[in-house]
Amino acid sequence: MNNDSTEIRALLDRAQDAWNRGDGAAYGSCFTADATDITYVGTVYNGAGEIGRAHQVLFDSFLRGTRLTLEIVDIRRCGPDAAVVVTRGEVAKRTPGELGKLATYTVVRGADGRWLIAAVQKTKHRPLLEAVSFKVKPATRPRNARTQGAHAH
Amino acid sequence: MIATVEPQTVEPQTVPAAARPRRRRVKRVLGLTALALGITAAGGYVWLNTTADVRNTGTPECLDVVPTGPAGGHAEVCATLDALTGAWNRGDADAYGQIFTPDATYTTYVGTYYEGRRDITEGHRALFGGFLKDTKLAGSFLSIRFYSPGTAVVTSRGDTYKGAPKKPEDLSKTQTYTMVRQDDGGWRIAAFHNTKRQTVMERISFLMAPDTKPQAEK
Repeated sequence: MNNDSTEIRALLDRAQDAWNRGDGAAYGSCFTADATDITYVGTVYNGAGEIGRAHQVLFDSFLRGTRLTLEIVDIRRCGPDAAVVVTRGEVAKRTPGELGKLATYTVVRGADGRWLIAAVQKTKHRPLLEAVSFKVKPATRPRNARTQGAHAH
Repeated sequence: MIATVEPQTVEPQTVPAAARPRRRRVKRVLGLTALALGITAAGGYVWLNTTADVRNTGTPECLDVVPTGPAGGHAEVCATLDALTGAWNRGDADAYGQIFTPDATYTTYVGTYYEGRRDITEGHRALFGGFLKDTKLAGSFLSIRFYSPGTAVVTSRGDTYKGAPKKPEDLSKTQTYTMVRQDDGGWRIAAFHNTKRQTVMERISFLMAPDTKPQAEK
């Protein structure tokens, strides 16, 4: 179990490192051939190839010079060859103040024993909308305060 | 002392008659420019928004989707997603929560993060009694992928509605479900993640960097 968690962390490290180098191909190689990547804008990318190519274009334009900060909130096995990882992260040129984006990764181990990302989806946290919800309906506030609103170190 | 009260000392403070219409003209031009810019920006926003429709609207019926990966479990996965919609439409938080694994995670499009079945159930009890009262769930499936006989990822577009169901092209949100088979053969949701499409931002991205557009949207 511990070993597998290490391998899953290593996979996310590799994706993060590829992002920080602006290397779309290396980023794409962290995904399965049929993976989906749903960005916080809601765009759906299909497959390692498309995810890599699209991110290279993004790294060369909107995301040029940015770094990806990630903090793992939850890492959970779903059977021997799959796991769910939830992260709070941010993309910025400097050290971000708040980790304002939530991501859910589904990672799977292939026949060759390598872990890859089968699905990732990101959402931008909207503190104002959320605060209205918590104010009007306090019971909508999640109970687990530990995992709420993590900040970058 | 008396000399300083002469009319000439007052004169520079008054605006020469000829400058008044000029100032008025400048004000009018500035106002019109601001108005024109405002209309252009609003028009641009509306144009970007209305031309940002998705092409890949998915398959409305879960059972009509052709799944990929190790065979088996398609009908069961669809039955679970059906039960999810049913529980939502009845506003039944307990039934809704039962569809998730005890340690499931749930991220709303606002970025609220629920951890565990109890949290998901109680959060939705409050939502079904408030913001989501009497809403129904509409969905259209993009993919169902099996990674092992006991693990599946489902992607979809979806939305809530009151009255007439929303059409697939009007679904404003995108979801990923990570589903796992239980010992009794049924399937539960281990992770759910929802994102609202930011149509204008996506359209600007596709316009400025066309190669960021996914193949399925070309």
